[in-house]
Amino acid sequence: MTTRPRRLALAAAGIALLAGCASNASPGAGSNSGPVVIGTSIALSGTTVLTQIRDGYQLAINDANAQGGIQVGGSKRKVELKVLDNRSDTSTMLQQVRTLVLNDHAVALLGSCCQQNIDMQAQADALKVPLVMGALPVDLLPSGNGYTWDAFQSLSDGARGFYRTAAKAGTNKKVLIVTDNDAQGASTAQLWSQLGKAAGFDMAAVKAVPTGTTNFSNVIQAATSGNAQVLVASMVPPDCFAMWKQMKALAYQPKIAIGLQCAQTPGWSSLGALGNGTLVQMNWTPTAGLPDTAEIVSKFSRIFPNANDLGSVALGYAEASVLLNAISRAGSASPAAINTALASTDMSTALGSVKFAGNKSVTPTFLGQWENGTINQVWPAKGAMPLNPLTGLG
Amino acid sequence: MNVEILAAGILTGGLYALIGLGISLTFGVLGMMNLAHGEFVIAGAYLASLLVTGAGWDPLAVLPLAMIAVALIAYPLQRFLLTPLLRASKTAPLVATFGLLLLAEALFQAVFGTHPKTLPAPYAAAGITIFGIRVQTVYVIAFALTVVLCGATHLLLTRTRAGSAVRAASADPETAAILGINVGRVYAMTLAFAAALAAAGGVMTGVAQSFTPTSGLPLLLTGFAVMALAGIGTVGGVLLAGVTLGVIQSVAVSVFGGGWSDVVVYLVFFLALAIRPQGLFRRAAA
Repeated sequence: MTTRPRRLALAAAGIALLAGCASNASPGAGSNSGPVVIGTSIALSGTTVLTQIRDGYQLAINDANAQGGIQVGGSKRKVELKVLDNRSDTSTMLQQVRTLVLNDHAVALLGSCCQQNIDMQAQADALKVPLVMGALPVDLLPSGNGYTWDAFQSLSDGARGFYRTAAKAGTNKKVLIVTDNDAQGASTAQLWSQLGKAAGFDMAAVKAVPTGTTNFSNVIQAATSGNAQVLVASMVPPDCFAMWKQMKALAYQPKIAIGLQCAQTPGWSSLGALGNGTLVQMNWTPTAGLPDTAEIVSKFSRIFPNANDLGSVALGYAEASVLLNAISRAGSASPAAINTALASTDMSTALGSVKFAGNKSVTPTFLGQWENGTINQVWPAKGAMPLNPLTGLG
Repeated sequence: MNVEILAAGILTGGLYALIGLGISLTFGVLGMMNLAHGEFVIAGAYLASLLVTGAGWDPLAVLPLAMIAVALIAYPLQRFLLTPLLRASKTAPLVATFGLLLLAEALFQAVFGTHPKTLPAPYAAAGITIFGIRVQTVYVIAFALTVVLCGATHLLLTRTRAGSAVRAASADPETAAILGINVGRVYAMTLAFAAALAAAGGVMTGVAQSFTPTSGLPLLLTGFAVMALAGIGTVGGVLLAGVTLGVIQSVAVSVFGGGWSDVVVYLVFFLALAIRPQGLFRRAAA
């Protein structure tokens, strides 16, 4: 019995070691014949699952190959997408990116999501291979060495749209901001605070919580004592689920609420009536009249009935289309030539028009609102339905 | 900080204790660190979701069924996989249960998908006022359930023949076997019972929070912290440890900010191991 505490400590160390395991990559030589290889290390299991984005990538590549491939320097070459599941683990992702470039001879990379995209940027810069990504608001892309290209919506646009909508919702303009305590959360809190103040709102409380938080009593107390009627939450879905339940139970009743990240999951519908009225920032809606909407809806709406999932397919499709377009214009499948070509991108995609300035291209932003298990666009006016009250938390 | 934050910490700690109880029982009796314990918790939540969201049952009505179902999964795992490994090597079951953890995550993902789920119930987002303090009803229910299950576990271990067999097999398995106790069966029953406790924690977690295929690991780590704080072989200590952890976490977050939530858990875990490896509550509650 006396050795058990020691075994307990050994077990803890074992967990840490096993969690840190990652495959090793060995360097390989570059290749300039055969199919053009594009690589992606993407989260397909673990805490984040991005099968929709992967399907969007594959759709664009299938479309290109159905045309006989893409034009590269006077000849048509097929495109091969190498997909590696990084299991939502950043260390694994960093190793896989090296493997894709050095072993699999990927001439360009497609992104994953969120914080992983930020972490991937340094690797793309170090390997001098272009990385085209979405799923990271352009405001959050750090300035790198010029190999990362982010075509996605802007948090600023979403925040402005939200505050514009909130201004008409009859609130006292006092805001509670709750975010995860990682780099993305901190940036989000700072941006939404600044833009809120500029729009005439007061920040009643700004709180950061670690992923996995289940007890939000201190957050709710701050919201109640600050009389915050506007709620901005940017957290992983399970944390928002717990907080929404606790807010309702402890009788905290904001008048308008947005769930950045968290309310984007189709799982939000499992909250039932509690989730009704929550707003969500979207990069795509079926009613907004964006290009390729009909193709995406016809091919994927049965697999992914939720608008946000279809938006992720559109995102993947748009990213891959931007990259394929650049490879064609580069005239060569060398990473340097592709990177140069990306800078002059000017095209229409499933997310809207893409034209990079400082490695970023802002695509349109929409606000949706959950109502009985579906999301309806409520902003901007084109394609929108009227805003409903926040009945779930009311 | 006010009494609401303390109350929330106490009630959250009840759920921590429910998850830690099964880990403590398994380690205390079998001397085996079950890394798949968090998966038993999540299995309970997913199995309950079949009847709760599929057939509209109340989670509390489903709870006993989920406990039995997960126990039935755990029994053969211990009897035919883990006990033979345990007899061969003390470390082999650690690796095996880590394998089971990965397998379970993959199975949950394949069968139930990856989107977060929650168990709907009228008390999931309801609150009640007790002595002027507003608290979340589901946590009060979970706390009461934990007290009942801790009491039942204590009585089972100390007042029944089965409990005597468990204690004998824990203290000296060879002598227990000579005395006619089927140690393999006792071990399997112990893991099945621990898994049933885990499933109860899973159902309450599903109602109070949410769950995904990967929710098990953080719950496992919290359970470890509870066990380290409580010490091995003390049921009452587990309850006290869970509550202590919940209160420390709640107060630390209130005073120092949200970033201290996880820090406190791991700090308590390692400090308890370093300063008092037998656990803070072992003597007091034994």
